[in-house]
Amino acid sequence: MTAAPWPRARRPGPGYLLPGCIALLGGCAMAAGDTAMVPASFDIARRHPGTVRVEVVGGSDTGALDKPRISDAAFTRALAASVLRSGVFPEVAHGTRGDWVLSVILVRLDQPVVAITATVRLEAGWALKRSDAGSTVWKAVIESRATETGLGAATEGAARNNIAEGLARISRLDLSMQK
Amino acid sequence: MNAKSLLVVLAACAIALISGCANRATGSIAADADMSKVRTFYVVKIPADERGVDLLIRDNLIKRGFQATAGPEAPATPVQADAVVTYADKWMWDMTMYMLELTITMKNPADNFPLATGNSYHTSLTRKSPAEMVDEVLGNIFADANRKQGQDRK
Repeated sequence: MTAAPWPRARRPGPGYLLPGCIALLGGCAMAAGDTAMVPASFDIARRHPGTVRVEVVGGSDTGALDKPRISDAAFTRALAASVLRSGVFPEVAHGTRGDWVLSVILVRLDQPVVAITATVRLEAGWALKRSDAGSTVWKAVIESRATETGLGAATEGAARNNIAEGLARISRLDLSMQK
Repeated sequence: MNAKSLLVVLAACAIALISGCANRATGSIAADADMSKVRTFYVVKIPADERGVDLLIRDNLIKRGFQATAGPEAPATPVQADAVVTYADKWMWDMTMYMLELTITMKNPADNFPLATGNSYHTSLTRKSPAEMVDEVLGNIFADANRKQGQDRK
């Protein structure tokens, strides 16, 4: 059986190929951006006093031809910006300072191999501890997902939803009992 | 160019993308995890896994000097292990089936909180055997554990 040819008026020329390839390649080799991982709004129950230090592990850099990945540095920046924007803590500390330490391990980033509309799932372990006592006051595994056009956008969406959920849960903690 | 030719060109673009030479290998330990105390592992088999990846992980852990067993997610008797190991594998076809990506996660059986995670991703031109992928992921996890223990001693 022979495939029916394209109608002459709608025959695709080379000009159609470039956007097609770009659509396939567009989501790749571009790391998830930290500003795009900051939620636009937050569901915050209460604001805690004190400063918090943010630590992130488990991410990876995006290599050439790689799928978009979330680096430790980008997630750290996005999380720090989200803490400030949400007001969960009034200040983000750097170095070894901070009343609290918020640690996140990016456990699993589940991405499709190739997709135009992609669903990406992110699993992360969150832990909050007092920096002086060293005791963990809260920890949780948070799973998030996002479906967006493009693998990069879906990856950033999954990270954004994870951050929004994590900070919402922290805001519901009663940290005044943890001194 | 007819529709068939267009599809061939687009498919070639996709294959060039996914069968290129991209590769990635990571291993990370959670901030408060003390992997020096973890000596026994229980590897949870994915029910749909017919390739025995769980056994490759178990055997690699034993080769590294640990005690390790593998079995279903809900074994008949409670898991007696310092860490529960789960994994996620993705496979791709390029002349033969090969393992494209492997993520291994180690969790505390008491609260299911992650202790460590590692990931390897190799497309066709840099493909590794499943046993080599397992070895790479676990090698990176324990390398990071050793690095972290070295920092803690200082």
